[in-house]
Order: sequence, then C-alpha cells, then structure tokens
Amino acid sequence: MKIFLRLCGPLERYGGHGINEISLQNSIKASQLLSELQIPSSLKVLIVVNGVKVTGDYNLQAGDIVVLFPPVSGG
Amino acid sequence: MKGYIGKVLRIDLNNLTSSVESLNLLWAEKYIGGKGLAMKYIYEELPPKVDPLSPKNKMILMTGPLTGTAVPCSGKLTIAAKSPATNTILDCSIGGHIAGEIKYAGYDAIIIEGKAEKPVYLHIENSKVELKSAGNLWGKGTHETEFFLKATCGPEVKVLAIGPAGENMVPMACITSELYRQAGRGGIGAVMGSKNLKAIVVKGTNGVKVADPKQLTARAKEIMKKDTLSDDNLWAYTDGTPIIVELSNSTGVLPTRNFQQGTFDGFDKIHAEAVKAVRKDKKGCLSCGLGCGNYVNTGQSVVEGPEYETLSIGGSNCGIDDLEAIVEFNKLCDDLGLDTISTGNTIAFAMELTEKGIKDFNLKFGDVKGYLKATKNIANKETELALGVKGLSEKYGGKEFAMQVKGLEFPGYEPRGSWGMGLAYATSDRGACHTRAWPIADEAYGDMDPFTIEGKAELVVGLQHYNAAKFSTILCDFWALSLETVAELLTLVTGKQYTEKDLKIIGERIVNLARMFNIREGFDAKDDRLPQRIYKEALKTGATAEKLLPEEEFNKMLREYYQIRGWDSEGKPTGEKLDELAI
Repeated sequence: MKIFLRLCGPLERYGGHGINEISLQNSIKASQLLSELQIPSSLKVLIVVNGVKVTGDYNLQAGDIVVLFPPVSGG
Repeated sequence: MKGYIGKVLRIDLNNLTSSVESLNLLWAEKYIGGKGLAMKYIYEELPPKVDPLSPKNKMILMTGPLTGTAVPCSGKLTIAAKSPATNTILDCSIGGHIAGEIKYAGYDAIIIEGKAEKPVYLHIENSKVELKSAGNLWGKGTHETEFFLKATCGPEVKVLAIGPAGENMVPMACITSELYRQAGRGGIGAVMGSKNLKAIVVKGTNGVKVADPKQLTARAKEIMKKDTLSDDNLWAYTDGTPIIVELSNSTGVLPTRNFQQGTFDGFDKIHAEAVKAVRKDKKGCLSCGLGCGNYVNTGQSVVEGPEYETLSIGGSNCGIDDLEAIVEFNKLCDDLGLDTISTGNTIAFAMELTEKGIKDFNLKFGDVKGYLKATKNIANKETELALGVKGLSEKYGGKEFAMQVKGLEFPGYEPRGSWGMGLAYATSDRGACHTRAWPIADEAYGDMDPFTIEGKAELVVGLQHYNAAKFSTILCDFWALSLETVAELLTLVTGKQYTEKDLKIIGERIVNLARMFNIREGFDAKDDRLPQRIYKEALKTGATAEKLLPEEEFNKMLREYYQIRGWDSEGKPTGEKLDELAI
C-alpha cells in the first residue's frame, strides 16, 4: 500500500523535502514508520494523519497523508 | 561575582542627568538578572499605585550574567516597568544585539526615571552618557529613527526606539530594535513615550569577565554542537515560529475569527511553507546559533518575520489568509511601534463587535484594507481601537468574547484545546501571556491529554519557575535546555556554584515577588479569570470541535494551583511561603 509523507523542519533530514510517496508491504503502526525512517525514539515527534493528531499506535491506512512535526519550544 | 559588570547607569530625565551606582549584588544572588532582578528593582523602587504613564514609573533595562559571554542564545535583554495596559508588573524580552552592547559599554542595567520636558534620545558610548534632542525624530517611525541614529552616531551602534504608537502612549505600543525585534507586550513603548524618550543608542567596546574562560569556551562549543543545534531546537533555524501554524491548525488551537474557531480554512496560505516560499535570508541574535529570524520579501514589503504570533493573531484571528497583507501588517506594526498580538486581537474584537451589530467599526473578518487602515489609526490614536480589547469591551460590551486577561490580549493558543494554557494565561504575572509558561507543548503538541485538568496545575507551576529562572540568566525561549545545563553555564560564568534546585527556588521566588507586586496594586483571585467564551462557547471544527474549558474545571485547576504554590484562597502567598523563599 502507499501512503504520503511530509516531514517538517529538521525532520526533513530523515526523508527529504515535500510530499513523498512511500510504499509499505503491510499496514504498520505510525511508530514503526518513525523507526523505519530512523528518527531517534528520544525525539518527541508529533504525528498528524489526514489533518488529525494521532498516537504512535495508529495503524497506517492506504492513502494516508502523514505529517511529522519536530518538538517546538518557547512559542 | 564574575559575569556581572557590577554597575547600574541611572538616568534622571527630569534633570537630564545621569549617574553610575553599584549593582545590588545581594539582590543579584537571589534574582540573578534579567526578569528576576529587574522585577526586584521595580518592586523596591516603585511606590504602590503609581500611574504607569506618569514620571514616577521607571523603565529598567536589565542584562544577565550570561549576556555578552560565549554562552549560546544569551543575547536577550529584559525591559521592565509597571504596565499601562494592565497595571501589573511588566517585563518584556527583546532580541537582537543591544543587550551585549550595554554590557560592553560597562553596565548591567540602565534605570530610566522621570520625564524629559522635550523629546530626547539617550546616547551611551562606554562611560560617555548624553541626552540629546530628539525633536526632529518625534513622529517618525522606528525604521527612519534607527536609520537616522545609525547615520548620526555610527553604523555600529545598537538602537532601541519607539514609533508614533509609543509617543501617543497607546497601551499596545512596543519598543523596537534592529527594525524588526520587539519588546512587545503590555505597552512598554507607551512607558518610554510617556517619558519623552524617543530612543536609546548604545556603543560598547569593553568585555565581560567570566570565572572560568577556558572551561566556559570549551563547554559552550560542546553544548552548542550537541544541545543547541539538535533536532529538538533546529526547527527554529529551518522554519522558525511559522512552523507552529500548521501544528496549531492540526490540533485545533489556531485562533480564528477572534477565537470563534480553532482551525482556519486558509491556514496553508500562511503556514511555514508559504513563508519559506518568500524567504530571502535568515537572522540570529547575539551569540545565537539557531537564527530563527526569517527575512521575507513579498514584492510589496520586506520584513524580518512574520512570526507565528503575527500569522495567527494578525492572520487567522482576523480572518486574513493573504500572506502579503499579513507581512504588510507586520511591517506597519514594527515601524509604528505596535505589538502585533494586542493590535491583531483588538482589530479581531472590533470585527466581531461589528459582525454582531454591537458597534459598527466598519471592519469585517478578512477585510485587508480595513485591517491595515485600522493599524495605522491605532498607532496615531485616531480610533477608539487604541483602547485595546479590554477598554473597548468596557465601553461597548462584548466582555464575554473580549479575549484578554487583566487587560492583556491573548497570544495565539486556544485554551479550549489545551486546558493548562488557560491556567497559564490566568495566572501569568502580566496578563494573558504564553512566555511565562507554555504547557501547550506538552498538551496539544505533546503527549498529555489537553482536555483534562489532571496534572496541569503542577505542570504550569513547574514551567513558570523554569521560565522565570531562564529569563533571568538571560537565555532565549527557543532553546529547550535543562536547568541543569543552565546551572552549569551560570557556574562557569559567575564562579558561584549553582544547581538545578537553586534555579527552581529562584524561579519560584521571582514568581512570588511578581505576585506580591500585583497584590500591592490591588489584584487578587478574581483577576485570575478567563473570558466567558472559553468556559461557555464550544469550538466547532477540527480536533477541538465541541470542546470548551468548563468553568468549574477551571476553578478546580486554579484552586489546585494556589495550593501547590502555598497561596491562600485569594491567591495571596502566605507568610510561610514568603519566609521560605526569603522574600
């Protein structure tokens, strides 16, 4: 199945700029996607799927648009 | 103690004289510098109930022990006074390079008191201190003022200036430096204007002595590489604060149409990618490796910005999805000397008053022309909008949707989508503010449930202590570092041993001192409130649809907050707490 992935800010280094199409053999959890991208587990990444914040337990579906945000501070 | 110069420059505008005195090092031990030490001076030197726009108010520019050293992200300056917008204690933080310049000129702090008979500017070059006529600059924007002063005093000087808004003592007037950096909130620019002080020009050529220069240099390099320039902080360099627009929209906390909604249809026209599409360059403050500033050029306007607060409060909150218009609004506010947060909120409030038929200000959500015109009129005090949200609501009604606390308008985070943020606004020392505590990072943007009061009082208390200590050293808000690291850096700079525990106690002491100032001015628990919209009106869209922050839940959270703090039911610190903190 295919999903669409966009990495924000410094996370681009783990997968490039813009919207990228990713092919997955099976449905995986969002947290597994982060592992596959080699994003350190210590980094508090906010996962947004189809415009809605989800947890790492979310099972990715074909066609999902996934946006990953780095932690921010200060405001 | 090393790190401090040990000197305060005091300016008497009544008599146009200056004097130099020793910095109170006993206070510095207890309050460090920046926010904490400036507040201590304000608390001790201002008699109760002073009119903030009278000559009796004082304006204090305070550096910290880390200022001007090799410590990363230590380029901020605190400017403090009693606020004309809120009547509370007020400390603002401004970036750029002027904080270091004040230290290099030989001062930890500058205290400005009295009022000049005619407009003047203060020119400091090391020990040479002069007050010069600013008659030719009165009425000019901050940009023209800074260009003139650099042409007159030398291109290397650093400048703080007010625009027409400050001169006209508009309660949302700010102080500008390097054209686009602001001490923004609470009307600090109006205090400067009330003193007939148009600008402060500084050039310094000395240095700052630190306790352990060799070790400090080595650790600063190491920390810069491993801690500052890490994935936790590099968002500031890659995107800057515009990254928060999409984050807020996705989590339903993006203020839209005067906080009527938490999502905005046109968010993708004003988010980080849109800003980066017109970005031409980056900028950082003194000693900063992050460089969060974005220089953009839309063809119509060039600014360093717009920051998230401007994109949200001056964008979605006014129903504006036209980035070019927001950039123009940003430029106008910077030049006229207006805080974009309070200005944007006031325009949005007037738009809703008009929409509801309460008072026709001829302003509609999304009306670019009206919004830009209103901005100019506010600075020139040619409209009642110059009263700000609280003043307008007292005159025309709409208090339930007047988005302010203690007279300070809301920043760009919806409390119905992060309940701790509501508590942070209600209990902040200067009214609705996001820089005293920013629990939204743990709530809507983090792992904590944003729609519960569970654990929020404790979270807000801890963050208020953390920020009070950090802003007293002074380090930038955007660097997420541990208090343990702050303590290590302070120790290397000052030679005095600091621990994380010491800094937490100092943070708590500062919060309590600010509270005591506000209590002296007549504030109590009844002022720690949010507008009724937050308690009673559910949001309609996105992740916060049908959400509100019920008043009884807010009250429980507030009571728990007082309890944790050791304050009584009126929100007053107990005698035991003050003794414990040696206030």
